[in-house]
Amino acid sequence: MAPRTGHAKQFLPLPPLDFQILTLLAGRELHGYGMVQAATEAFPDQPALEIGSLYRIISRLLDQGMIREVDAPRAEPADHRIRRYYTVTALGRAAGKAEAERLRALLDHPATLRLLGARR
Amino acid sequence: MIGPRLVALIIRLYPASFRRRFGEEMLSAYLDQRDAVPSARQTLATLRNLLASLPATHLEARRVYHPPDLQSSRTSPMRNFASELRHMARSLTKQPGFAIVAIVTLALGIGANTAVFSVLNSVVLAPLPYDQPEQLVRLYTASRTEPAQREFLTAIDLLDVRDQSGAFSDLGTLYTYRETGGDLTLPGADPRRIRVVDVSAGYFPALRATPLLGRTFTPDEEHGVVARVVLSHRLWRELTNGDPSIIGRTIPLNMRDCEVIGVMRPTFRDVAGEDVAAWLPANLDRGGRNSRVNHYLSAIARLKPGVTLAQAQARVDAVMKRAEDAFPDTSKDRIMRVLPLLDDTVGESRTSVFVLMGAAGLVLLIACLNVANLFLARSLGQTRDVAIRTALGANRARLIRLRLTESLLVAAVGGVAGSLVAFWGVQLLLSVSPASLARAEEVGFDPLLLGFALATTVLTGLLFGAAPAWRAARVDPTEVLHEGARGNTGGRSSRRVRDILVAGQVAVALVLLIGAGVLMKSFVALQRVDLGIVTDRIETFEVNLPAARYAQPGSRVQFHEAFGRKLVELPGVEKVGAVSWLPANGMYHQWGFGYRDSTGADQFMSGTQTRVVDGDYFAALRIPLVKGRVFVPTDGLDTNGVAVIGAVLAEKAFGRRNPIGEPVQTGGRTFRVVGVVGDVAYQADGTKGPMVYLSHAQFANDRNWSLTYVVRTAGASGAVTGPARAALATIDPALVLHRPRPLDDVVARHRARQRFTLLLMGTFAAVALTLAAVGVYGVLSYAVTRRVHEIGVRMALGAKPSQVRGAVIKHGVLIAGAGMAAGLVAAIGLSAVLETLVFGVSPRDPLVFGGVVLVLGAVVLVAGYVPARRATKVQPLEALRGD
Repeated sequence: MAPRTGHAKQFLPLPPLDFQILTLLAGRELHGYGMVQAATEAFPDQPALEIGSLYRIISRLLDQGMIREVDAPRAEPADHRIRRYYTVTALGRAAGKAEAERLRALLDHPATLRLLGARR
Repeated sequence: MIGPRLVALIIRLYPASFRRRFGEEMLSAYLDQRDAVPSARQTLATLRNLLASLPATHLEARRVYHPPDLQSSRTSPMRNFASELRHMARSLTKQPGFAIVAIVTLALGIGANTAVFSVLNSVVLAPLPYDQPEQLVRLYTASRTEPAQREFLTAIDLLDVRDQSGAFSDLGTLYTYRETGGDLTLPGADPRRIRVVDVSAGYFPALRATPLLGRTFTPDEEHGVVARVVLSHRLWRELTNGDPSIIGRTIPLNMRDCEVIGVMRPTFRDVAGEDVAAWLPANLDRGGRNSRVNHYLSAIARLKPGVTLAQAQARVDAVMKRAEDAFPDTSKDRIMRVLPLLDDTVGESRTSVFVLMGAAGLVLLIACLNVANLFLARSLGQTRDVAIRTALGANRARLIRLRLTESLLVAAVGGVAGSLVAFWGVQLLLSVSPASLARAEEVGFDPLLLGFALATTVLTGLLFGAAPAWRAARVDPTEVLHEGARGNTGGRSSRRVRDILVAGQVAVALVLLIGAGVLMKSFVALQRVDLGIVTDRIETFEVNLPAARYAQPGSRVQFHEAFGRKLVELPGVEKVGAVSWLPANGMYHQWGFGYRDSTGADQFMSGTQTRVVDGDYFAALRIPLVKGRVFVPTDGLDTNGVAVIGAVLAEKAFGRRNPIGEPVQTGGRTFRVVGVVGDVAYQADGTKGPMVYLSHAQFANDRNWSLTYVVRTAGASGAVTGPARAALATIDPALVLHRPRPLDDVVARHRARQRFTLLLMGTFAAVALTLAAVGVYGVLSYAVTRRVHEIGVRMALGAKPSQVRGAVIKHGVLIAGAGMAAGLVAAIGLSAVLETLVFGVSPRDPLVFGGVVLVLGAVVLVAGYVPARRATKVQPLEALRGD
């Protein structure tokens, strides 16, 4: 089943947190709280990722086929907590890339640069 | 610790589909976060965010994709069930230990139980194969002073009761003494002996048995002179290959041409046994042998509709009272007992049947305890799972249904395995069951019983599987999760429940083992019992002389003399004798015995075992001579009658006086005592009683005695059969050497029932022992798994493997010790039940009790050692990291 990455553009623009989660999961497999931790590490200045939002987005991304659940990459502690691991799909990667390109184009736009310059 | 509860509460507000999909995961993520950042502010932020995300999630949920296997509300119950089954099968195969132990337990418990109950049910409990069997009774004579007797009846009493009591719609007599066997001498075939029973006209109607062909006897034929016969279906098929034209033809039976008047149906079973091949009309003519003192008949009767057993007994009592009043010298203190036929058939084996049923129930109990334990352990392991799901709003009914489904799945597989065990078990039991076991040919595999055993075990599984799920569903999730953080599942109370269940198993197993042990010791004692004879290297066979050709007593005496002489000349033969009824073969010819007491007054003793002997009977069986002499060849028909009595009878009748020379009366004649011999058991359990011996040479004119030869051989006893048959043919080629078999086999046959009881009991005990071992192993093994963390810490702190092992074994010893203590108390309490079953051993035999405790203790130690060893293999670091 070839992922229909060509359709990635139809999801644009991605909501910011969706995009953030796609970048967190690119090339990695993380569980829910793992994503919260990774987000805190990667984007300490960004608003903290909270669990309520996180799972709403995970639900949406799963349904859109941009992320998928994977087997736990390592042995879990035997505490019976449920930790499902997720990673991006080809579609999610394409959509994230498209969103990044869209943002880059937006940021590289003279108007944006002017805005940044003005702030500086 | 309010956080998790609030989080769980808010998650409940999320859309159901979303909640099912992510609820537990969210709570877990929250707990992970709380462990990492334990601050109230963080929890507040999370709660706020959870609340804030609610509306959006609800909006989006309408577009959310629903995975089919989690969507319970919209699919059909069947699909739901099927998906749950798949889920269960997966989860069970992930833990094959649980599934295998549960299934083996069920298979053993259900299988052994159903097999044994099927045999007991068909053999002893099932109704008799007659129409309205509850109306059927058997009649016996007893003495008012010994009302428990079951003696044969006189024809006169029976006729009185039949004609005057009005209690019975039909009453039939049957004459079961062996002399009524018939010699079938068909032209062109070897003569053969068949089992023939003399019956009166009322016999077949009482059993509501109608013939397939022809008719049965009429009252006009109850005179014994008519040469008419009714054939069994089997004999008819053998003789004519099923030719209906046999009615009206004659067959040569006992040297008389008997007219065949009827053929019974293939389904008809004679009360006297499966092997009855033909029926002759009884002779109930008054006078002759039908006196008021000749007790020789059995009787079957059918109660009149509406007449109860007690009413029938009362009416019979009235008739007997009239006879007693009219004939005080012959009928004094004679009573007639009316017993349900089924009770009579089951009779002696009743206690052993109850004991076996009790044992079967105990095995089922152990299986249930085991299943309960397994399911309990499993459910406790999943308590957290259930608690979280419930906290998140999972449907409690569904969770419990999940448990039920699981139990059903295991039970179904166990049930199939149990059916196979039961099926093979029935075959096995039948192949080892004694031939004497009544109605063994009717044993069938009873699906109802299987259902019962299955239902019991499954219900247990459901109860103990679902109850913890039910409870867990009400438990505070935080508490459970908190407990989980310490790696300590299954609270203290549930651990105690499991320990108690296993202790219960050990207790029940101990009771069964003690029962089996006592029976085994009893059986060994039975084998060693002194019968008063030496049974090895004795071959026995019967020779019956057809009345038509050996009508004169003298000819019969001559025949036995000649045949005995020929036998003793055969190579390897040491001594030859003959007797009317073999020792250790049950009661036979219990006659009255008259003697003079020390004051010279005539006394009468009833129920004396009377035996007619010929040749060197006493020497062949090595029966010791105590006083006087045994019979000699000069004790003939023309000389004065002499008798030899057993030591018990000598003591009872004459006390310290010398019985030699005393006149005694039996069989309507007077004899002089010439000798006293050692007592010989007439029951296989060694029961001895008053016995009197008469010489065939002197008593041949009483009747045509059928004698059983006892031949003492130098080598193996079976080798003599061929030469003996050849010797018989040289005297009279038409005679039959009937039922040749070693005396040891004759005795063993009578012990077969005890052996069978022992075998079943032993099987039960073995199953119980196995299941108890499995239970102990399971509980300790689970305890070790549960305490890996603790053991790890202790070993990290320097505990030696031997100490760790010791702790686990101590746990096992405590459980087993408590179980065995309870079992000992129960066994002592139940020992009274065994009292009537055992022979030569106390049901509280200390050796058996001690031995069983040792065996069970050893098995429990072995079962506990394996998990104990595993505990010492715990790697401290791994155990600590695990949390």
